[in-house]
Amino acid sequence: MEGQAATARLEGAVALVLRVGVTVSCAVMGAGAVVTLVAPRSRRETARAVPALRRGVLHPAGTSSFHSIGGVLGALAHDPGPALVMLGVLLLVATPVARVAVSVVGYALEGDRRFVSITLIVLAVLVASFAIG
Amino acid sequence: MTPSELTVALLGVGLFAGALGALLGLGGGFVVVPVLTLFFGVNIRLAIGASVIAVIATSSGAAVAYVRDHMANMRVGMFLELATTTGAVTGAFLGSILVPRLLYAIFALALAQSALAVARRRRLEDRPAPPPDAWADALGLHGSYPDQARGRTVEYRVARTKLGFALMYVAGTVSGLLGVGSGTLKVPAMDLAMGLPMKVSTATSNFMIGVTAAASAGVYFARGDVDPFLAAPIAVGVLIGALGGARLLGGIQPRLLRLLFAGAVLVVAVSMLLKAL
Repeated sequence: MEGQAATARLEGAVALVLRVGVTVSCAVMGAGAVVTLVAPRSRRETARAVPALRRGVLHPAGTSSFHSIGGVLGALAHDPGPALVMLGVLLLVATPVARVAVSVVGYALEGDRRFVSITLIVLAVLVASFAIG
Repeated sequence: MTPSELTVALLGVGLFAGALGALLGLGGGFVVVPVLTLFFGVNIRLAIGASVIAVIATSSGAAVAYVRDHMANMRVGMFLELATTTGAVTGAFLGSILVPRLLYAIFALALAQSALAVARRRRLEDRPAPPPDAWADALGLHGSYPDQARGRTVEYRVARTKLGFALMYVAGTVSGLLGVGSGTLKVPAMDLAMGLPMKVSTATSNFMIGVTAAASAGVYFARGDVDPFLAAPIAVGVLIGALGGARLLGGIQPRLLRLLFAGAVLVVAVSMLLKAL
């Protein structure tokens, strides 16, 4: 019975993390879209986006700076619209990672060492994929 | 097409992919990649990059409802994520080495086979009891889920954990390689190999897809294949669609769900085969 209560608690925490992550990332993407529409510079560059997508090059407004987390954060200062949209996308990617991190804590509180190890390895693979990617 | 029109159109693509994906326990990538490449003329690299993000969105959006309703088996999911995440990283790297044509052909066959297997499957009550499995016992994987259609809680036992684990590594590799959730491989691995009920397999697959895709998303992002104005509208559309789809799943008859699933897998198989030719 106690185990079931702990499982229900973990399920609640996981659901909360997913909901918060999804909500925040959507809000940031939405804010970025609004900023892009309002800022004249971003709007001009966005007009070239459609042909660029066909050629397979990155969105012009985001060229070259949007393949590292530092690049996205750096772009926030001089071209906030596209950078905010990209930040929202990254927050969405981070949501499942945060879910795994919360599970590590949850299983630790349950005293389930086997599952603490399992979730820690999953977390390590996720972090490593960002580091080596 | 202006950027605003494109954004609205992409939102629509996301809505459709999300609802269908959540309903069937798939990531929606099997809709996003073909639609973007065939109808929008988007470069395949960017389509796959956007699909990875959409897949994370479907999973995260739908998983909220599945986890809260105790439909997903989190322990099975977490354990199998060991296999899917390492597979996804493998796949993302393999992507630059292997010939895509050959892969499309192999997966078209594999998908067609799994569609037939799922469609022919007997009802849960008629299934023979799964063989005892020491791994499932040791890891405490057995579970139960609330079945709205039958109005009671259904207990189930997990079997063939090692086989499921191996299949999940393959599913993860496919996911990383093609930027799809590969629910079409995850669901049969749990449903057919491990003996989980179809609804639990679907929900758990959806739960795992986000983590699997996140493992390959880092690689795609670093390659510069994630375009914010392509990925974001689809992700938002997929989220809204996925929330609606997850709500529907609880009330659907398992047989109808299975047939829907089989049909969708066959369609994907044919489209993949066409890509190979």
